[in-house]
Amino acid sequence: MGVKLRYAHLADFASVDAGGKVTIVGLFGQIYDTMKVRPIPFPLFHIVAMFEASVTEGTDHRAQLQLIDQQKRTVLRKFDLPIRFGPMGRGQPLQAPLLLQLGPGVIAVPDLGAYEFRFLIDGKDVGGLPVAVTEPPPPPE
Amino acid sequence: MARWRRLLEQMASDSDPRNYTYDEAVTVLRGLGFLMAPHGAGSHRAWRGVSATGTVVVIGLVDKGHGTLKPYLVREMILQLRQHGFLT
Repeated sequence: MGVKLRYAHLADFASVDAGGKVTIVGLFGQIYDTMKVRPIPFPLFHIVAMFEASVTEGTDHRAQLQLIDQQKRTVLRKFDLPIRFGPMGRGQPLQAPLLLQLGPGVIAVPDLGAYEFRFLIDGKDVGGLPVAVTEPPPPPE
Repeated sequence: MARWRRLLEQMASDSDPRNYTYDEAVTVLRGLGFLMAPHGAGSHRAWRGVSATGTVVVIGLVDKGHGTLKPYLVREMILQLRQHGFLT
């Protein structure tokens, strides 16, 4: 089975309680270029991801986050973090949440376009999360 | 009271936080256990800490070597710290 990405979202807020229950508020998939500057800074946001692994994978791993553009070029590679998988009950795979809150300007992209966050566990790509950087919609009439 | 905690309280209660330097913000973040993430040649710095619930909080600051931080950076830093329970 290896490690796989069960889900991933961009959100305004996310947290996980002591029992492992994840709360996610305000899902989105687009960043608007409201400031009209280049590179385009991302606002304050959360990335929340849940990974699953078979028990044979062990509990301690490292997670990396990569942002790629449409041509699969790496825009940035960041956040090499320890991640610990925990048991979810007999017969169930191990699970590990990854919650990142990124402040304004921590991530910036060169221009408008389609991008994708890729998640790597111990250097192996396990899944992605698309994000479009677009012009803001016109104000309602 | 430790200097970093005094600074944090001052920043948190300041409605117009325009007189804080990068070094003062770093004093607060170091006091809270944040570490600087590896960075390139530019002036942007990412400081990384882990909340009590395990959320990795990444705070962006600009280190120009002089002057004060833009108020929005201090406000957003306080907002992030507040959202994840660093401000008690």
